[in-house]
Amino acid sequence: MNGQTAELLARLFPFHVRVGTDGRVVALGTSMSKVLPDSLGCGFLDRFDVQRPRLASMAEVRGHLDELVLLAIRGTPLQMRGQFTALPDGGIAFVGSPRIVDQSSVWSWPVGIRDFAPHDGGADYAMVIEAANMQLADLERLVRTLQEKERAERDLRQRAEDASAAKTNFLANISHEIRTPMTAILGYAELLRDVGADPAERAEWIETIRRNGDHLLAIINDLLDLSKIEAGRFEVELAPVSVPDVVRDVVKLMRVRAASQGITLDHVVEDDLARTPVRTDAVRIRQVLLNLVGNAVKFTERGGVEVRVGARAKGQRLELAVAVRDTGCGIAPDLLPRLFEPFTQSDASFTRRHGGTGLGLAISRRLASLLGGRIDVASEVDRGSVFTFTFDADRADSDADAIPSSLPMPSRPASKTGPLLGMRILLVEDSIDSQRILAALMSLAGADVDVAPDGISAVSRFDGSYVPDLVLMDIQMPGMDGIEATERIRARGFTGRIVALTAAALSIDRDRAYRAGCEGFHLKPISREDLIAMCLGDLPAAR
Amino acid sequence: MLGMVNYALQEMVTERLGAEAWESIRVEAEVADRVFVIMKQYPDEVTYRLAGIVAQRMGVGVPDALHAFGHYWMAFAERQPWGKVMHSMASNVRELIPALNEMHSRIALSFPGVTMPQFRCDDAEGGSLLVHYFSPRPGLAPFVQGVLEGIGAMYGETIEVDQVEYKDRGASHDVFRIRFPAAAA
Repeated sequence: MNGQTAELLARLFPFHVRVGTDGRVVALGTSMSKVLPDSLGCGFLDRFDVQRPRLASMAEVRGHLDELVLLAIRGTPLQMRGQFTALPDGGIAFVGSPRIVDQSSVWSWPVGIRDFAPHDGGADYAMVIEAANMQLADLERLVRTLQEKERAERDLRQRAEDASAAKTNFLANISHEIRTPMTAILGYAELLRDVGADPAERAEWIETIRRNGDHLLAIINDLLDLSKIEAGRFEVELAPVSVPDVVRDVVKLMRVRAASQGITLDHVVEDDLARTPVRTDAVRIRQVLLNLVGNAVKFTERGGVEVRVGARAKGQRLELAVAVRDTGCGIAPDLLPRLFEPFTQSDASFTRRHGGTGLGLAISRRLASLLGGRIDVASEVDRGSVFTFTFDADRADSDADAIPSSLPMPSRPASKTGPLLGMRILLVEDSIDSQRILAALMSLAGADVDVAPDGISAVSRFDGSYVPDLVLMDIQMPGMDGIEATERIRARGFTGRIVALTAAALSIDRDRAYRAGCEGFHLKPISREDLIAMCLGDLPAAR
Repeated sequence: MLGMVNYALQEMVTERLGAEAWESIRVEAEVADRVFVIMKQYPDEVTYRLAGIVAQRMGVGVPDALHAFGHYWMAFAERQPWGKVMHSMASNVRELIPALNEMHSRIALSFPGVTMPQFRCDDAEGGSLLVHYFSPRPGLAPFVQGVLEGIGAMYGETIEVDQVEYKDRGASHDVFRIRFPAAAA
């Protein structure tokens, strides 16, 4: 073969292999030389394996000239695609290029793009594979971006729904909390108009009105405090304060309640440093501690509550820590992160059972923050909780005093004659005040009133023989609520009138009551006239 | 322009000025796409508008911003699968520069509709290289200079790049000289 042909072959086919008549390699293209640097003189079939068509001898190779062949380089994963062609000198040449089928085959060759002849599409294919690769990675990036966006939108939507649900819940609770004492106040006020009542009973009624008024005021104060804090209009008044004295007063105030529950309430001053008077706001400290100790007592049925006061020097200032530890029911882990948020109620029936606005901790944490401090909580379900109120304050010279307060307790009314004479009414109501006032008003109107303090005891009365003329059903009650009680009473075959009388003012409550089997729905508070009209079935239902 | 260019610009701004800065640049440039698909063709106008506002936010002129982006582009491209292609083509600046045209030609042939620049590389005095840059897109010479310098950084080589012919001053095309001070010494 002349030099010109050899040179042309080398230029056009850098991966070619030239084989002599004896079957030995006599020349390699420049790029193939990089792959098999020591192959000159070797038997062609010793270095290459003709896989498709399967050719085992040079004679067979000569029988398949100018056909598409797949050639493997022995001992490597590399393959070539191309053809055998006869040369003028009697030899043959393999001309072709690396077989590229996927990403790994592109870069398994010890050559680069520039080792391909410009006309060779194999290099372009390698580029396309890389581009496809890149597009796949891009697609993954785009999907990731979309997923992140979707997740963010979902979180946002969930937060908005949670906030909305929490506000609805909050409004329902506030409505209930306000209507319940209001029922007692208006009801007893009605009773007081009855000039024939016993003076001792009248005094009791007045006390009930006052106590419920106090409770209403507490709710309103909580709401105002929270709104003032959130509006940034809450001021802190610094004066010398002995924190252990404030703690002692709070403990003293709450001890009666703790004792009535059969639990202990103690306080411990950990060191003398804690007794150092500091400049802070005693009223706000007391408010926070009343809330924390009040909660601890409220939610502890066995064991007790311990309040520990400690202090440590922090430069010229003191860091005071008041830890309120209880052996109560504890707080579920999923509730902990939201515990201090306003409008967050734990379990609605739980809140009703224990009272309060659900704002105490929200207010306390904000007050703590206004005092330059914080409230931390650690809790374990069924083991108890520790709320630690920590704040910094400057040292002062004199002590501060606390202001105690107290709460009285209720009793019971009754009498007969009037428009409900002969009617047997079952009053299902958990609030003792509401029980008493409603029962008293209906009794005064001549009705025979039975009282069931919750849904379960109401249902248990319907054993077949008990057939009242009317059931007045509260909706929100601990244990079994009025909805379920109504369903069960209906299930026991009672076909008489069941009328919901509730402080739950939302339309959803009304719908649920009707679905359960109530025939009327009325809101507390209710006047004596309306109550009697309702019992007689003459009062239009609430909307 | 391929979306890859806009995406790289977004990455550079996000890294240097933050995600919020990019978002406000995107809004100011009135670009509706929040994400760019790298192999999709976007109007050149989008890239020019974004680059103009990026320059303002970086407190530099557009040429300086493009120059910085050229540097960033090479680092960005190396992280993409193209990095493998480049490294398979050359193991140093002197090998890669003459191969730039072939690489761009193969991309242009494989992806119809993509407008790729063309290059010619000539040996010049003192072992330097003259890189001729042909593109219908105006004003991108500072970007190319940044890219060439970025290639030096990619291979860890010290090179000096100067523009010696300017298309916007009447030359037929832009020409850059690459010197290799280490080799000269």
